[in-house]
Amino acid sequence: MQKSIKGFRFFIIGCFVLYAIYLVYFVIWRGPVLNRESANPRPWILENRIQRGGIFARGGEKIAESIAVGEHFFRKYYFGRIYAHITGYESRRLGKTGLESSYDSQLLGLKGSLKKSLEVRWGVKGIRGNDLYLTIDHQLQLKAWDLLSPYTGAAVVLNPKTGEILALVSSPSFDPDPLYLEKNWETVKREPGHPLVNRATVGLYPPGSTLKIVTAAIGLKKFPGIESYVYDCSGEIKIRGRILKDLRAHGLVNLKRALAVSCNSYFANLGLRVGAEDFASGLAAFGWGKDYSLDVPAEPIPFPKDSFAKLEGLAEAAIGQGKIVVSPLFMAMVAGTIGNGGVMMKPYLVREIRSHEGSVIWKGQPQVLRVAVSSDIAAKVRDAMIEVVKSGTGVAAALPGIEVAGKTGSAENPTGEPHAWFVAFAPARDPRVAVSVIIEHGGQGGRAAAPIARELMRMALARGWL
Amino acid sequence: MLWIILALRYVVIMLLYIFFIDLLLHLKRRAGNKEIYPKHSLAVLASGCFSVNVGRKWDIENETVIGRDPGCSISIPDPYVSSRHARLFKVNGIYMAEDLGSSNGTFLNGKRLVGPTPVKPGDRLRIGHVVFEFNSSLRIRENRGRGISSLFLYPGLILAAGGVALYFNRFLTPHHFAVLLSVALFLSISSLLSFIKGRGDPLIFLLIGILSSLGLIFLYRINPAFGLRQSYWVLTGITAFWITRIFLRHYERLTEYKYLFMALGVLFLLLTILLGTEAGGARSWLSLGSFRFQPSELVKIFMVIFLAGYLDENREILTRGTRKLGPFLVPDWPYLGPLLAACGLSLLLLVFQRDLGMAFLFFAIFLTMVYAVTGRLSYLLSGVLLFAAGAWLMFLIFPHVQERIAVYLNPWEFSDSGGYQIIQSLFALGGGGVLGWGLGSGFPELIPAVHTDFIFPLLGEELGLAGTLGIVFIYAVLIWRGLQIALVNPEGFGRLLAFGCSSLLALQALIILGGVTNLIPLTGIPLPFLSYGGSSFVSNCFLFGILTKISEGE
Repeated sequence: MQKSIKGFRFFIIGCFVLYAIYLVYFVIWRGPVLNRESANPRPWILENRIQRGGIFARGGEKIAESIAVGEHFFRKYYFGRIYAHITGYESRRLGKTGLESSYDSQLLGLKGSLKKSLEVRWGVKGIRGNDLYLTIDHQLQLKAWDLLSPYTGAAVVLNPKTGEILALVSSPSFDPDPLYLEKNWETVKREPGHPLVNRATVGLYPPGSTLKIVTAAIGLKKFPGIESYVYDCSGEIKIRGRILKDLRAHGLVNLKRALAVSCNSYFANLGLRVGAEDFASGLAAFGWGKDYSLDVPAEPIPFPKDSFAKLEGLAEAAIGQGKIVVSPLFMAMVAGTIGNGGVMMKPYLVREIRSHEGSVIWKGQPQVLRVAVSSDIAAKVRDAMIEVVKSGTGVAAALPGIEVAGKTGSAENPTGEPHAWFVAFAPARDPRVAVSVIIEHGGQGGRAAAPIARELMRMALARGWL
Repeated sequence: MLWIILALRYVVIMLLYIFFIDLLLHLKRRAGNKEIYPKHSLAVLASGCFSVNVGRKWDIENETVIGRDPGCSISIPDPYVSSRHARLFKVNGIYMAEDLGSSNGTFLNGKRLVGPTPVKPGDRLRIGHVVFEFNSSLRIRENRGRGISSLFLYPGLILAAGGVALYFNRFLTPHHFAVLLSVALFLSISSLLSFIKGRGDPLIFLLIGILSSLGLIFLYRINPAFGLRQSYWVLTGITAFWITRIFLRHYERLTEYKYLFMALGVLFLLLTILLGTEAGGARSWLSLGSFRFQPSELVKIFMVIFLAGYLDENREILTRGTRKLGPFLVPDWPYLGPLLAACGLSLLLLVFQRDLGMAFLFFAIFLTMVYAVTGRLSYLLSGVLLFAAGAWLMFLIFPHVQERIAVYLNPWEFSDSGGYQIIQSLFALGGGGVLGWGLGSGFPELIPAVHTDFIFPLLGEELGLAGTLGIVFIYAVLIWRGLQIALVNPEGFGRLLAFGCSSLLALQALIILGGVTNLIPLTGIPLPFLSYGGSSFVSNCFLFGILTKISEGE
């Protein structure tokens, strides 16, 4: 009996030891994963003990706030759909998006504060999160929404010298109110205009003629002095059987004129002369194919290098058609880069994080994202862009007394009328504002998008703080 | 001030670890303190007498009288034996045998005794129709010096500290707090007594006390009403523990009532089926007015006593087997029959109550005890096969068993139905991290049955890995000590009884610990000494009272 009892003892103590090892494994490795499971109500209950921080526009205008009703807090969005794509929403059932998601731990005030985490766990009352102060100018945002909401499209206004985003709208939009959204989720999700998609940052469109400012910069880099050469536009260019048409025969054009009239033949020819390799590296210098992060989800810009191998693919790319696509935000960054002497700034939305008591915890700093081209080349492209607004396709964007540099685009697409593009910055020689506007199926960029861009620039420049 | 009160939430776990350090130091101090002593016995080699079985063994100490008279130390109801036939006695450490003037004489190694004669180990002594063998062996005894160890303070201290933390964090009213403190005082006095009174292993009570304290703290924390009721059960249980130790003078005599115990057990189970009330899907409660109890908890003690008695009595036959069945030797029906009948009947009754967790526990304890006695792996294997067949049958018959298994295989699929409980349990255990969030900071309201079967996850959430490992450690130590008591016990019945008590605790703990972590399919049984429930607590106290009694030795 001794032997079998000893055997049993060995077995049973072994079971307890294995169990203890399993507990260690479970808590250390599985625990953190389980904490993030959606079926786990604990994180949500804890979060709801905190009065989540508010979101404020640049001038302190209240955009979002948590309001205490009895034991619970309710998230209120004061401007609903106008800011929906920036703030995102916060719901138990649907999760979090936008700034509510990316700045979650800041809004809860838990980031880096063990003391606060413990207090929340222990049920200390009256814990408040931190407030976000955005780079968004409230009046400009309202204006942008007014101008864009009749259409399907997006607009981005930013400060090219700092990267601060001053306005960002995507239309159609949605009401981020959690109660409304939870109730109507299925309908909102299925709406034909896809209101949940933030077109400004994740919408990818062919850039059309707006890309010619990039092609021009690449050409100027490869062939110094090319601005003085002229090209005879016959109204179309034929590349290995593919015909790229112009609206009319522009005759003899130099670079400045070609950009002003948006001559397809000139830029297709320039692209071909630059060659696939240098064209690709020129795009890469602007940031194609490279990640850039924003405070809200933004789509990296795809880099269809392989399509340049064929001559017709290269020619199409040079005039912003074919496989090449961009987001409206990125196009605003490109325009801003030209205005800022070739330096691309990192875009950002959150200017400051303040504690509930008002002390500044964190301050956003302008950061250089990359140097796309030299300042000389940028200045030459800028001069051509001034010509676009002065005498070319973008006259609708002209502002009295202020020099504006811009470029129109009408992006051919398989689903209907061309998308109307306009990108610009002003004042041209010392830009304080850069804009990008796209109206889906809006037709000619000069007609549909340029006036909106003009109004946005007018308003932005009129704001005292710039 | 706020932070001082909040920091109180970690006092319990701190004290638990201070206790562990103290315990290890205590065990280390005691380890070298052992004594080797000889031990003598008479074992029956051959018997022509009905009621004296071959293999039966008597320990002898100082003077032992053998005779027909029931008052003799070794009583042999054989007409050829005189009423006071012979005696063994010790002179200068040497045993002498002497005939006490019997009619038929006493024979040592075939020679009739005349006058006191020294006996050596291996000598044979024939009295009437019974032949004894004189044996001698060396034994090691842990010398438990009686000194009071500071260890006795801990159960009460931990409970009181938990009470203070709960009181200042506003979980308790002054009334609850007062009751809690009285229980703490009672626990401390009890464990002090277990150190200074009697010769039993004082650590058994100490560890039970620690577990009860932790259980009480968490029951008060979940709902002071549970804590209050459990307080009374703890007091009752500890009283039962002491009653067992004081009034059960000779635990060996329990074997004489083994059939009575079994009959009572079967009767209890039958009554439950006939008159029982249902709770949580199982019809396993008997109500007497407002008083409810779970008879199966008591039956498990009866079962262990019956098994220990019966298996000890028929050890030889069960081990060797007398009939050939294929390549195996199996015992004859008259020996195997009562055993299988008793166990089969209890299992059947438990299945009728739909108390499958308890049925599983009974079967497992039956199997381990049979294995302990016989040491035959073939029994263990055929038992496991039988279990598999039974489990498959249950699976086919009971829809709720099918559901349990489905939930066990993939609880996430049933996260808002059958799997909710187990998933919340996993969340709680995983969320607690290493140190836990502190007493009172978890979410017991999210786990159904958190006060009974699912108290362990809450401990994990609030005391963290530190707490759960601590509890596993306490169980392991308790079981180790229990099995040690079984190993050093010289006598078959006592050894088996001690083994039964400890393995019952081990199996119970493992079944529910494995269940709440989804390592094995969940079967709801309480976690011994921690879960809410009077029947379970009191019956476990009885079991450990018996165990402590056995550890007292002769």
